[in-house]
Amino acid sequence: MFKFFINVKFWAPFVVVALFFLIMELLLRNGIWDKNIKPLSYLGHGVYRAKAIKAYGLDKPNWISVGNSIIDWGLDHKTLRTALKEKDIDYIRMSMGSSKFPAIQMVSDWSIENMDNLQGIIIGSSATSLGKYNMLTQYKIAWPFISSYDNQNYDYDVTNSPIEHLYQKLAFSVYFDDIKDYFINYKKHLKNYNRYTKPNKILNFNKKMNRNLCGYELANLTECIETANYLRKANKTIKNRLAEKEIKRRCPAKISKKKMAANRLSSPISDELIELYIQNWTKLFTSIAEKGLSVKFFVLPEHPLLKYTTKPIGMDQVMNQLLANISTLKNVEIYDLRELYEQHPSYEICELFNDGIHLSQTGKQIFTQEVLTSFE
Amino acid sequence: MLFNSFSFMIFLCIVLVVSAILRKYNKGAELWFLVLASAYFYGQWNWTYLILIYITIVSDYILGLKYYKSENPLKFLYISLTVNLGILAVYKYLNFILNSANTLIQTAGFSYTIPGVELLLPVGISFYTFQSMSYIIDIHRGSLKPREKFVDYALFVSFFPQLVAGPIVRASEFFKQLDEKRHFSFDMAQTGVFLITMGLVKKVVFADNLALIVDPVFNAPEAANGWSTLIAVYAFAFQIYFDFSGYTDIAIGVAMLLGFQFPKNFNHPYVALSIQDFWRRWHMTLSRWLRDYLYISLGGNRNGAWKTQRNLFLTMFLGGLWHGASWNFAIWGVLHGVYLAIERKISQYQWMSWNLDIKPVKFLKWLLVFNLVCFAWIFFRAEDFDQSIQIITNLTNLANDFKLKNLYNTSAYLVIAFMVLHKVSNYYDFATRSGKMKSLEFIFWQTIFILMLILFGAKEAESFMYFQF
Repeated sequence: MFKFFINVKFWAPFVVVALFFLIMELLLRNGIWDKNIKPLSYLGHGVYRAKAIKAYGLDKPNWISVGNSIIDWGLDHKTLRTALKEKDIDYIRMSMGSSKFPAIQMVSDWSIENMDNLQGIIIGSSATSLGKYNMLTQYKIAWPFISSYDNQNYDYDVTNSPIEHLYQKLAFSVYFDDIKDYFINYKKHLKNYNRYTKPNKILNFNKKMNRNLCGYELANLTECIETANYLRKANKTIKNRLAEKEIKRRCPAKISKKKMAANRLSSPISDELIELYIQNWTKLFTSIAEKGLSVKFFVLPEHPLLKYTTKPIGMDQVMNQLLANISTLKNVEIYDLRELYEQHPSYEICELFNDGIHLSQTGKQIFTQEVLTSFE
Repeated sequence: MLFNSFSFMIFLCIVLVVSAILRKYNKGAELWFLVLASAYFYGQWNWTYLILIYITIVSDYILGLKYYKSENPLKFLYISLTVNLGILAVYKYLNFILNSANTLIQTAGFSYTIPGVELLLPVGISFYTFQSMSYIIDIHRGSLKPREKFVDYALFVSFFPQLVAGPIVRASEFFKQLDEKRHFSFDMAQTGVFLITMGLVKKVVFADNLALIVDPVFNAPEAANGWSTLIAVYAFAFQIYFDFSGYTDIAIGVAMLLGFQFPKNFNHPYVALSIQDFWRRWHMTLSRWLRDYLYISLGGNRNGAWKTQRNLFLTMFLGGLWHGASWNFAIWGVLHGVYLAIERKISQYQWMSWNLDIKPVKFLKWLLVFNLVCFAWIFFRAEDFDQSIQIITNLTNLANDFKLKNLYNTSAYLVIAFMVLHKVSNYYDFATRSGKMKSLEFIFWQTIFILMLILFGAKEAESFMYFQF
């Protein structure tokens, strides 16, 4: 019996698998797959942005923006670039969809290290976005900037085992979903191949956010459930496809009723995590400020739909504590836009949001103007 | 402790090494070690409920001996059945009975409610109870002598590879292996390792990923449309097959590494051409148990057509309830009972047997059987009756959501799934030929399986579905 376990038949598959991973790791780290990456995938965000920035010139940017899709889609980057150019400021977009703390830290530190004329960073985040992330997703987004991964200074919320975490940091693991998607949707990839990279478009990005949430009753969970039921019965898009999909997903009657019955609409986060998030973010702001760079921190608004469905209890505490910690830092300016709709009473809340998370065209104009004003 | 967890792999390595060492010097010590290891395995879930297993083991061990030596043995059989069925009734069915009684009371217009009892359902209780009951029934039937050594009996009931979800092994099959010199070979080790890897692939790669299609629909059926419901129902048929047959492969593989042979539990059930054929291929050891100890005890097919139909129906109804204390499981069993009864009735007509061997007829039979089985699975998977009805209502709305693309995609995936399954059934019955595989073929498949586990395996270790029974 035990002869089998010392026989080549037992060990050979493990050796073959190890060799497979070794070869793939070397090939992927040398960029063999980079030309085929889908631009709007997690990995695509980082890889194409790094290419575009390098082609543009790393010595040019004076200001960059970092953060997730709320700031990335919520800013009119083209307008901002043009307006700031007049003030002799070269602004570049480094914000990327789904960026959370680890990706923001890596992108910021990498930019400080590699962009010789960088003067400041615009950081945008909502309270919800301050916490809870998946490390593999963050590695994917910030893959070209992973040399700035810094687990000495920052305590990442790594919940998986050390072996799994090590696996997540392999190039193969980071590229795997993209490669899989390429084979599953090969027709789409081949068709769009020529449109994959347009550096100018990447830097002057301005996502159209033409819809809004007006016409949907979403003031609280009960209204949201009723709206979701109505949309489900209608069984077709009434007005805003993205928003309607989100409403149906966030407010399914059965789960929401259970949450309401349990008087627990969102899950709380532990004190340990609250402390960890506050420490990490404070360290990042302090570190940027200590390097002599300016920071403009924009606290982004959230629609009530997000607040009563998925926003973890405790995130406002994280944000308030963070603001208190960094308010005394030299070179750090805070712009709290959480009550954006109160600051602009001529608009309804629904007019400012494209969906439950992102700003609408109106919201975008107001936010872009706020950023521009901060430079005056 | 789950088979698909890292801690189980460590546990297994230790058990294999220690039992091999003990076997060399003292066979009795090896068996005691396996009993202790099995207790540790079960105790990882709940140490207190280990007492429950040992009540079953000790009582049936003593009652078996008493029965054999007594001149008036029937009372010992009745005591054993009372203890076994009593434990099952209290721990598995008490709340179900109370809830049903409360519904009746309220339907009758009374406001009184019988309070429920908070009891944790012991993992694998139905499996080990059935196994233990078969021992005493076999003694009663005269086909088995009771075991003198307690360790033999304790190992038969609590042996960890089959403790929580089978296969349900007959006492005579197990004791024969204990009495004879157990055979260990290079081929057996190869087969055992191969079955474990293949079982893990079935569970972690196929079943757990199919759950991603199934769970959203069954968790919130009111939010799903007809097509996604149809796909979820078909996906569940495959999910439960991969989940349970994956578990069985691992159980058989682990037992094989310890020198034990377990009976086959699955034989490509979804290629069945009749419901009877399906039950000869699905959970074969349970079908065998129900036939030998329930259907035959009820009279089988010896008392005329009507009673045969009744016995079939009752067997399937109780078989359904065996799976879980809920009316949904009972309906699932009843549906199969009705299918079998109708099938039996139809097969009595001569004109029905013409031309049944031609391929188009075979295909239609397969299509009908597969869809009937899938329909019954709705009740098996849904949380309650209302949810089952919601799923069926969604399916009736298929025409409203009709899109040619959906029809094409669903059919394409089903055809591919069945082509693979058919191919596997005919040419690659790994389970039976893995020990004879040549080096390159074995290395090739093992490499593929390991890569699949790493690349496509679900990230969280999900529990096996049949653990709840």
